[in-house]
Amino acid sequence: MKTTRDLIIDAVLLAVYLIAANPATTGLLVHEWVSIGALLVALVHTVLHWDWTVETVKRFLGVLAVAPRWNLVIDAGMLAAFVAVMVSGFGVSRHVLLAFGYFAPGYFVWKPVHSISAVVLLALVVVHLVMHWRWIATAVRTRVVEPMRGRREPVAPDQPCTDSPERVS
Amino acid sequence: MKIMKAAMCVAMLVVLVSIAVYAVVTLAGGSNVGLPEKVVAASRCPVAGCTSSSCHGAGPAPEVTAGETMVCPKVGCEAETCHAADRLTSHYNEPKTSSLNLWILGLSLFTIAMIAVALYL
Repeated sequence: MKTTRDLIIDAVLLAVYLIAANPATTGLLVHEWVSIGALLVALVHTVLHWDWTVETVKRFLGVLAVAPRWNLVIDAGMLAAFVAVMVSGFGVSRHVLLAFGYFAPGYFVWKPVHSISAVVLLALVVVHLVMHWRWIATAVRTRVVEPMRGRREPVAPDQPCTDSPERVS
Repeated sequence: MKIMKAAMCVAMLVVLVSIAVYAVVTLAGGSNVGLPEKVVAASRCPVAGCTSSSCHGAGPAPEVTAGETMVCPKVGCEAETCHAADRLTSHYNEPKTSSLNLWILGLSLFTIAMIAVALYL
């Protein structure tokens, strides 16, 4: 159940992120509002993995395998890049802030910060996906592909139907 | 309860990192950077510094006619041979159209390919 929940949230996060990170196609209005949605889903993702984060931080300077050590470093970088993208995003915002009657001064200072942090975040997302590819593949196979195959494949004639109740004599 | 505690911790962490980012950029950007301000009738344009009543908003700046000049919002230059005037009238406040799209396309294809390989090998 936990794997299914995590898979759904991760899939939603990736989808929302891909939409938010493509402003040239969606336009700035969609980009700004969807980015706030991406922030909320990313926060949920982080909260659900908070126990792992705390445990890994505690053991970071002690005995810890290489993979979780690098995962923590990448995740910390992603958090910093994500926050930098969001803060600078408000600095260059022309729709979300204006919807509340505000504007942020310093457009030409925030603009390069927004661009650079967005590219850094994208690169770290790729690394994050690579480092978790085995979990992603296993989760998709066991929670999506195999259940769908199981539904489609008819029961073979020589196999007993396991769905029917057993006869009690 | 455990989730609430984790949510509070994550929220505090995000706020702290946000303050750090804002502080670093403010130190680097000087007086140009500030907290969001309320838009009022006398507000200057946050990009061009203009207080004209016929504000063009986030749309392209109007074409400069002969004899007129336009203050470059980036360097404050008023030269008629502005090197960036074409950007103000054609590409102002628009996202770039090329590089990030390729990144996104590459990322999407890479993810799909990775899952496909893992499923069928």
